[in-house]
Amino acid sequence: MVELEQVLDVLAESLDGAAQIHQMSEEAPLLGAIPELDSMAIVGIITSIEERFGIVFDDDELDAEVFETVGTLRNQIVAKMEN
Amino acid sequence: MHTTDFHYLPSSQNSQIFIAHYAPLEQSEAVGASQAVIFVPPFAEEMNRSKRMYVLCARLLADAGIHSLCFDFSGTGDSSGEWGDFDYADWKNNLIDVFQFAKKITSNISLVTLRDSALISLNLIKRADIQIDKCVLWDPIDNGDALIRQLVRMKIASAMASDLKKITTKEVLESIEQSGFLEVGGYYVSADLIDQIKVEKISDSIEDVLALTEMHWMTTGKSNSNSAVIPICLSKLNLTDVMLKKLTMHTVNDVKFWMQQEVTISPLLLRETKQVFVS
Repeated sequence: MVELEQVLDVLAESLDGAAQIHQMSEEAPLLGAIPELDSMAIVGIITSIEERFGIVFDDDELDAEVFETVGTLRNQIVAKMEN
Repeated sequence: MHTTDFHYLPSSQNSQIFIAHYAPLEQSEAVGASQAVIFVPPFAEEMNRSKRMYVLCARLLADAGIHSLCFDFSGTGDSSGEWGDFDYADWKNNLIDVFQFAKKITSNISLVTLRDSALISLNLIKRADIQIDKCVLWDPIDNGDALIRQLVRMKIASAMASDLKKITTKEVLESIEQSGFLEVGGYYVSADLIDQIKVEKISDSIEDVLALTEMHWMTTGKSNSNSAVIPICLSKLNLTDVMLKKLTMHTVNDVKFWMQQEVTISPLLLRETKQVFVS
């Protein structure tokens, strides 16, 4: 099980300047809504997720839909862990 | 207190290497014998994001009595030349040139690295004619292949973040093959440079390095636990007790400043680094 708080921890680590990460809900939008979420931050988040959850993403599994909301990112992690 | 001098050092590649020398005004008892620390820049965008922290750390150490040197590799920052005119071999030679510059100040020389600059630095340390006292690695990348994978992912993420058509790893790799370079964040990384970086591995140098040099491996992250464990890339090696005594793992509960879009400072990382040099 991947807790919402665990996903928010990863986001907070890569988006230090972004306000209120830990107040975010599953529906909170990511791409396009957080100015700090640039390409390096996205790569940082992916790498942190891989290290923390012991999974490895195939780069082709990663697209804008994964980073649409906190919930879609969490679902991708869950799906990867179940495979 | 310290003074700051700027130098343009002629390099062995006929370029001018920019060096900022932060020199202590007086010898410190806490530092003991004269020391110099060279700050080795990381690659591309991480280089830009390291500048502020490197200068702050250099000033902090200089105020504590340590000569601190920040420099730019040829073709980057304030050094002469164009980015595409130099490769990894040139930058390794740049570091040797800066080492020789530091040697005129003192024979007690240490390095601070960030991310991939650990690879270049360890390569230098294992040379027989180079003696490095301490090496502080900030969030090191342990192999060049991981750095290239990060660059390819940045290309994909960049398209993702700017609402462009989705691109795949395969398409990025095909594009490198066709054009001869990978463009990430305005940096054109040639296929030759990619090949040079890919073969670099910390595990290839670490045993030689730990025979000679005290190493401090610092991992940052606000959600880190406090337990400092040996990284996987090192745990697979047969490091002797003598080598392990020279390796200190540090877990620093501070922001990964190099990952942030805005200029960000990691005060705990600065403090931890200072403690390595000032007892």
